Amino acid sequence: MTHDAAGADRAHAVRSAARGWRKAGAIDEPALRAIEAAYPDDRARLGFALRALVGIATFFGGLALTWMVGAIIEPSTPRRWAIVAGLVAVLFAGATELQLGRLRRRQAGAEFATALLAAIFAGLAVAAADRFRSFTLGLAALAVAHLLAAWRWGYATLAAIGAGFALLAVTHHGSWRIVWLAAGVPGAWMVLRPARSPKWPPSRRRCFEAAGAVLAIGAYLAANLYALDHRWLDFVPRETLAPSPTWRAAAIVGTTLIPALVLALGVRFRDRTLLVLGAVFAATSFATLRFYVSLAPVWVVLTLSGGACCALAIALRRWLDGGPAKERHGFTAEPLYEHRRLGDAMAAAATIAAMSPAAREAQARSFEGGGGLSGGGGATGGA
Amino acid sequence: MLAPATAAPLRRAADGSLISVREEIRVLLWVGVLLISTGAGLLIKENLDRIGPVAIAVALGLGAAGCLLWVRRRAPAFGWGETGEGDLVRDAALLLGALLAAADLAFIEVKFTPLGAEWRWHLLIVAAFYAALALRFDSKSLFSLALTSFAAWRGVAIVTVAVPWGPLGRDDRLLVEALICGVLFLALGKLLERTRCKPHFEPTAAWLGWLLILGALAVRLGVDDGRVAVALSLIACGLLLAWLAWYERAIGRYALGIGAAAYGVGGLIVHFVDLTHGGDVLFTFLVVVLAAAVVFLVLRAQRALRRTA
Repeated sequence: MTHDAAGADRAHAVRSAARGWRKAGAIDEPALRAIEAAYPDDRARLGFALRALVGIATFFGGLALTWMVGAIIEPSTPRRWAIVAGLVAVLFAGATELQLGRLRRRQAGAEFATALLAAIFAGLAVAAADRFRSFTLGLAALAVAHLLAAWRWGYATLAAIGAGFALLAVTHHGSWRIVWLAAGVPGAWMVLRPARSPKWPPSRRRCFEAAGAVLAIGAYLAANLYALDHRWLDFVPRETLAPSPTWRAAAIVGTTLIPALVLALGVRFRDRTLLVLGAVFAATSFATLRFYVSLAPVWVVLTLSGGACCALAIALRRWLDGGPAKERHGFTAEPLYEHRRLGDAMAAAATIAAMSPAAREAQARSFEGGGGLSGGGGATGGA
Repeated sequence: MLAPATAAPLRRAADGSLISVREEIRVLLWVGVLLISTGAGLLIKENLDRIGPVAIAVALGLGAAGCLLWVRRRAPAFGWGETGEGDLVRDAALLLGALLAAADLAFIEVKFTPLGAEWRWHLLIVAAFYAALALRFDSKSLFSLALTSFAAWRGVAIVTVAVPWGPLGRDDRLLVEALICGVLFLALGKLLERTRCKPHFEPTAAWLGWLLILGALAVRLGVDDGRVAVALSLIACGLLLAWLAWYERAIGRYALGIGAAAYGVGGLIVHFVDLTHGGDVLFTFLVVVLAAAVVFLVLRAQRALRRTA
């Protein structure tokens, strides 16, 4: 990242936090104005909705432009395709530099779209130069291109995609599962160290966090017993035999221990990403256990799990509220000066998507019973 | 810049030595409610013969009543405005109680058919029940579920029309019903706003209304028959929404309007290229022009917003 962009990034983080403090009433209006004056942000930024719209338009516009160039030039060989893709990548990279530099854009959608297109076409150029013969080379090129783009321009999404491609690139090797598992260690380190280090500007910290989270997810998937037994990630059917007892035993240990380890790290270092990952891994491990060991009928398991979730949430909140100043060990259940508008909108969308009743069918027909499965609490009622 | 006493807690939150797990607790409660209501649905389906319909209906009813009575005891007094910040546990209990009650109602209707030939009205009853709870306990979640239940009663699933690539209807019934529901929701939102009765519910009604209108038109755009008329309608509705949202400074809705209008123009482009056998170059050129127009419009709007801010 350029010095300018990093400075603007830090200033934006301070201003954003200050607006949260103001909204929560922790500081007054003059204090907010003083902070904003001390940390000027010269970047053109858009809100989430406009940014998404501009990003989508630019991405598809960029793809269409590339397609048009291809349709006009009609490259006849993979080598010529590689040259076209390489030139297009350079064009999009230049457009990104221009927007982030002279045009002073950040979080405007368009510059992210051109950065993504640059990374995609750079990777494709290498794969096309190789005549798409090596799956590993193509994915590795995509990984390197995305990670370099993330490093240069500071986009967490590019870092996450790059880490994902890096993991996929090794799946054609016999020991890929060990590599994925081992990658979890640097993944956790990235979340705990560089992602929290003030040495890096906030956007690059988010890149470390996103890439580290993807590596941690990869490590859990490599260790999960269900994924092992069902060959989820064995993209090339090299082994037709069932996994060895040693592998299965290791997977059982991994499925059990990784969620606990990640949760423990999250609590120990007060890291939200690891806490969320640990909770998701724990839920997945519990579902894996349910697949192998039928503890009780599904409805009992679901109801008890739901009850356990609610009980845990209530107990956690009470425990935190009971501490001095409503906090314990650096955790609180009180809201802390954060912008939650997007989170609230996502929660509303999730509620509508998951809990709305199914639509009544046009033609009246007799009941089939059932009373609905979920969503809407079974309000489908066979209607 | 800040007094030490003011800065100390802010510094702790900023450097990560104090973090809030409020949202995580909320998600945990939400997942719990979803799992319990799903479990209740399966209980009905799998154990009907073993437990018996009366026992199931009574158990669900008791569960729902327990939740709602608990909420009623802890809820603030009714008011037509916002009644304070919601409580995480109370909101979850309210949602669970409402879902269990709706499941119970559906089950009773299936097994005991108290509505007889009028069984199809039960979703409307569910919608009214959700709406009553939403008004009493000031819950936007339940208000949105009331609206989606109403749409479901008319045969429209919000999830279907929320994505333009959703499955296509065999006829235009879905389109007409979605348009009617959408207009009704918009009118309801305006009514709430004008009468100052829960005016903070207006954005929910407006979002769902526009989503139904634009989503249904976008889904219908996938059918060849009458594509031009549908595309023109989508463009008109999208621009109308963008125009209205612009004056209300509702940026999210403005983006939705511009996006919908662009999607409609995309439909016209496809039709035009098909008609003229224009080929890839013409098609991609028009897409590039459209994308550039969208970016230009949004950036201009942003600049204008900044000037007026």
